[in-house]
Amino acid sequence: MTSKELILKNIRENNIVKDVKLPNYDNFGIKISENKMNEIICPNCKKAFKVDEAGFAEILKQVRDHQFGEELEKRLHLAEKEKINAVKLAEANLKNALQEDLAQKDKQIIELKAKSERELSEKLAT
Amino acid sequence: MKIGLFIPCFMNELYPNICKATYNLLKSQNLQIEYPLSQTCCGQPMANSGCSKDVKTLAINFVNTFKDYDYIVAPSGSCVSMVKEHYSEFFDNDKDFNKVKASIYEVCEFLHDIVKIENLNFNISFPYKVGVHNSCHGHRVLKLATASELNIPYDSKLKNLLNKIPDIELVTLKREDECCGFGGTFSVQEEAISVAMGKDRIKDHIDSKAEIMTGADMSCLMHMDGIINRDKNPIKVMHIVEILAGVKP
Amino acid sequence: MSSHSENASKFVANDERMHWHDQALWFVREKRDRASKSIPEWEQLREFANQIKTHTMANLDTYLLEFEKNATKKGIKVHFAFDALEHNQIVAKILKEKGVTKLVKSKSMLTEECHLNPYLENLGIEVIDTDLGERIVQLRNEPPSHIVLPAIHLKKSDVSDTFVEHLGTEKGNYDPTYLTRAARAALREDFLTAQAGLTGVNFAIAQTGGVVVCTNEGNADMGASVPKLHIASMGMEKIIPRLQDLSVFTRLLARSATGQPITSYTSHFHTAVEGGEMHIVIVDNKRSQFLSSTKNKKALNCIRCGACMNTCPVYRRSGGHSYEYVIPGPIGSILGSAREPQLHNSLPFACTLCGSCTNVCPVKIDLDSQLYSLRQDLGSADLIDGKKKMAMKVTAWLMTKPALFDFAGKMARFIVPKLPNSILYNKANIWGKQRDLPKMPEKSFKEMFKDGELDD
Repeated sequence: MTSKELILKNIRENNIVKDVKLPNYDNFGIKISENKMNEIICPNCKKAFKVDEAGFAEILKQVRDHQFGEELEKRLHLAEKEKINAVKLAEANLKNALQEDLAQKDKQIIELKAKSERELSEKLAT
Repeated sequence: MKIGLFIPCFMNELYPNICKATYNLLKSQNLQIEYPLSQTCCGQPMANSGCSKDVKTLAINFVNTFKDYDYIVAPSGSCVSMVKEHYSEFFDNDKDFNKVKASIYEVCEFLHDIVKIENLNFNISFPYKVGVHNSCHGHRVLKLATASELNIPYDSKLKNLLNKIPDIELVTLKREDECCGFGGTFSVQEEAISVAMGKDRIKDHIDSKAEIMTGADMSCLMHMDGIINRDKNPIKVMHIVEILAGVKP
Repeated sequence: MSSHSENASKFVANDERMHWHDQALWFVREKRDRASKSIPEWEQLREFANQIKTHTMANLDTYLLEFEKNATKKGIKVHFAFDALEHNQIVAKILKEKGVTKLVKSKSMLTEECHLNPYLENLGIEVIDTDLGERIVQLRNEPPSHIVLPAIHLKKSDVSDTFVEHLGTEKGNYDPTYLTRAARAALREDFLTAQAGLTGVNFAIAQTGGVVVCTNEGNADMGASVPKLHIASMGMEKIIPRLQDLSVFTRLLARSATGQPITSYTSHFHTAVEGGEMHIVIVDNKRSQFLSSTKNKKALNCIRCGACMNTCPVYRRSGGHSYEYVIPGPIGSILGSAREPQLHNSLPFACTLCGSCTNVCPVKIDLDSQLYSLRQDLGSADLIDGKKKMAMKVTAWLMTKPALFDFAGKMARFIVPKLPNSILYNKANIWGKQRDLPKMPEKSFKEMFKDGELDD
């Protein structure tokens, strides 16, 4: 028997819970009557003010409208520019670091060359 | 109406004056009371320890003692709860038990609901600040007052009775109905928590400026009285029937 | 395994910390009160919830099959596990098949019950608990002490010390915002590198085949949406019939748990993310035992809100760890001692039967009655202390002999006042450790009555 069958068998054989009807939710809860002025509480200053359907729609519109869209565009553009600048800066820093390294290495090579020439002369002198 | 007085076993042995006050209180309201001598104990300590089966003989004795009374009144919420809630398993729809179950009341409940609070007269003075301790069984099982967890309108039979005394002042507590930690054998089995809970209740009363702590269950008050006496706290314990019977602190 | 009373004594001994813990949880209870009293239909909702759960339990087999059918239609793979081990095996198999080496997990009491974490870690799979409280206790290698607030027993300083050790935060910095941001950054890393997410289930809806998960942190949502593999583990009692029944529970759950009108995230999962897979594992693990128990069947109504623990005066003063069971408090005492009575025989006695838990339970489980009847079960099964049982038997016998009982009382009242305190308050007198014994009166009430002293 699979676990599923075993579980269902256990439930069917041993269940002594007496059944009741599921509740009915008609006419339960907060009623919103027609043509009523909706009361809104400002989350910032906690003042309550009444607004009708049209006024309510006006407020909602402010959240997502043309001005909002423009502001969003502007900020995305700025963020993109910042990113490009940051990348350029990183590249420039890397280049500088590499150039320094390169200069160091050149110096090393000159020193080593000079050293080896000295040694060679010393050897030839003996 | 013929009333049978049911005295909790430990109150009989340790607090006879409070039992006397109960008797006098009921008599002062012109009620006919009898005290059947064959009563012993409701069996709560055994049942709460898991030995409910041993209570059967006690339950049968209880019903036989009290079956002929119109009302059975006791100065203890927990003992009355025991009979109402946990005796059914010993009786198979027995007529006598059903009558006892329907007629047993805690004394404040009885005065408030049966004698009716409008008909009560307490010609006493009690010019003290009083904190009411809501003992759990009386509070949540017998509904002597509205439990703070529930979203239903507030009422308190104990406070209604006490407010009939003109110069009494009832204080407001921070935790209106937190348990005191007695819990029967719990007070010994989990001694540390039991005492910690009792101390917190006492502190709540003292912080709310109560001079007297009162309640309807002497078991809770006995437990807290023990702590008050050991720690020498500046508060006194009195059972509510003492206050209503005119006893002075 | 120590008894609850031994563990509780140790917790109470640290008086300052015990009161801090008590006050913290009482504050949550007060928030719950404010929330429940702000809607007039609160008691009606509790009754609805009770009816819905009772009906569902009575028809559990039908609803399980309906749920499986509808979930499968949505492309979710449904598995059934008979016990804890099988649950762990199923989860491990799914993870191993996808080569998962790291799993992010949101809060699931079921997985705690099945001990999933150690099982997977033994198989080489790293498990990260993403609920902040659970993450903290996971780093400390200790079990959670509350089902909704797992780290409620820890102070800011404890959390800070743990983070210093494991997350490299600044030593001595106890600022909660700083610590939370550190945890968030670390967990973000885990979310992005895990190959699978496991969530619990608050409610499974039979009508739609979907599951609902409620969190305040959004960790379940992140864990189920970022990795391509989502596993949801649920106890079989989490099923509810229809979507409209869910509304009753979402109105009750957060108010009972934390006093919020609703949790920040209440997410419905109906299918996997694009290109991903979703599995649901339905677990029995002795839940069918409760269906057949006359006394304990209502325990299956539990929606794991934690309100009973917040209100329990014993839990607040002893802490979740004193119960030594995966779920503490009143509901934990019932579930633990009903499943393993011998192991958890002290739990039904870790209670004064005050009844506060029954009053706060959003689904109207009769917690105090069940704790009382479990005591009787333990008594019948001979699992209570032998000395106590004998003492109770003797007392009960004595009570059946009124004359003898009165005589014993008279003797006690005679002898006790004559005993010196050193004998009276000896070590065996546990009552007398921190309390004075009541004064012995001269006569009992019965004696006063018989001597005609009453009518004076």
